[in-house]
Amino acid sequence: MAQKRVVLEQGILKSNDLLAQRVREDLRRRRILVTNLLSSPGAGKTALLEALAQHLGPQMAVIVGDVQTRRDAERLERHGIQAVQIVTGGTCHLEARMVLRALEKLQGTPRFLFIENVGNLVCPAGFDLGEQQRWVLLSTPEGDDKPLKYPEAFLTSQVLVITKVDLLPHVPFQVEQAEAFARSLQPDLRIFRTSVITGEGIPHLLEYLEAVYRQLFAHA
Amino acid sequence: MHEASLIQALLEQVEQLARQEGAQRITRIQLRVGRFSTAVPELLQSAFGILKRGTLAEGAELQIRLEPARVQCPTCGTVYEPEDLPFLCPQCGTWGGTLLQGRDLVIEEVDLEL
Repeated sequence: MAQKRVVLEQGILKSNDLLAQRVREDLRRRRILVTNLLSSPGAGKTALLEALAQHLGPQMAVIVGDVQTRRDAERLERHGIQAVQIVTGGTCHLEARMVLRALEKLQGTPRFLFIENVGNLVCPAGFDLGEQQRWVLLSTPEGDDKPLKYPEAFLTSQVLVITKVDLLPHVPFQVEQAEAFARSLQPDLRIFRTSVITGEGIPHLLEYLEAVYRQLFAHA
Repeated sequence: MHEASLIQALLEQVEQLARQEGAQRITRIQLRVGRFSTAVPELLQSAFGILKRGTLAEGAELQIRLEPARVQCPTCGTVYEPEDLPFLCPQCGTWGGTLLQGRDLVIEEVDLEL
C-alpha cells in the first residue's frame, strides 16, 4: 500500500480563524467596534458592562456566553441595552461560529459590541472570536500573581482592567505588583484601575473606547 | 479543558485532507504545540484517543512536538528561551519581554495510506 507524507504546516484552529476573520470584516464594515472580555468567573465582567451601559446606553450591545442560563443577558437588558445570550451547555469558551450565530440576532447597529466570554482564564484565550481588541479583567480579591499563573489571557490582550479597586484596603492584592507581572508578559498592555462601586476609572475606559473607535473608523 | 474542541478541529482538517488525497486512512499526525498555546499535551492525547474512533484517523498516532517559548528582551534585544515566569533576560537581567514564539498549535505533517 502506498504511503504519502503531507507537510501541512496549518493552524489547528484554521476553521475558527476563518470564521473569526469573517466576523471581524463584517463588523468593521458596519463600523462596530468589537471587544472580547476575558476573566475568571466573578471578576466582574457583567458588572463592568453594566457600568459602561449607564453611559453608553443603546450605543452598546453585548453578546454574553455562559455555560447555563440567561441570567447575565437579563441583567444587562435591565439597563436598556441589547444582550444576546449564548448558552454553551458545558463548553468552557466561546468559538467564532457561536458569535456568528449570535450576530444573526443582533438588531440595528450599535457602535460598541462587547463579547463577554465564559468565565475562565485559560481556554477562551486560545480562540479568536473576530474581536478588534481583547480586554482581560483581574479583580483585587484574586491573587496579584494571576498573570504569571494564567499567562495566555494576558499575553493575548491589549488591555488589562483591574476591577474592584475599592476593595484594595481590605485585600492583600498589590496593585503595582499585578501590573508589573502583567506588563512582564505584554509590555504594551494598557492598564485601567476601576471600581463600579465608586465609579473610579470608568470615565477613562469610556475615553479609551472612543479613542479606539475614532482610530479604527477615522478614514470613513 | 478545551482540548476536545482542539482535537475535533484537528480531526476535521486531517479527514478533509485524507479525502482530498483519496487516502484510505491516516497513520500519523505531527502536531507542534507551543509552551503558551493553552493546550496540555497529555490532555490532547487523551482527547485524541477517544475522538479518533470511527474516523479515518482511528489507527493514527498523534506525535506532539513541543515548541519552546522565545522572548525578546526590550532592553538589550537578546532573544532567549525562558525557563519560567516572569521572563528574565539572561544577559542583562531585565524583567519581562515580548513573546516571539510559543503560541503555536500547528499541524506539521500528516502521513496517509493511499
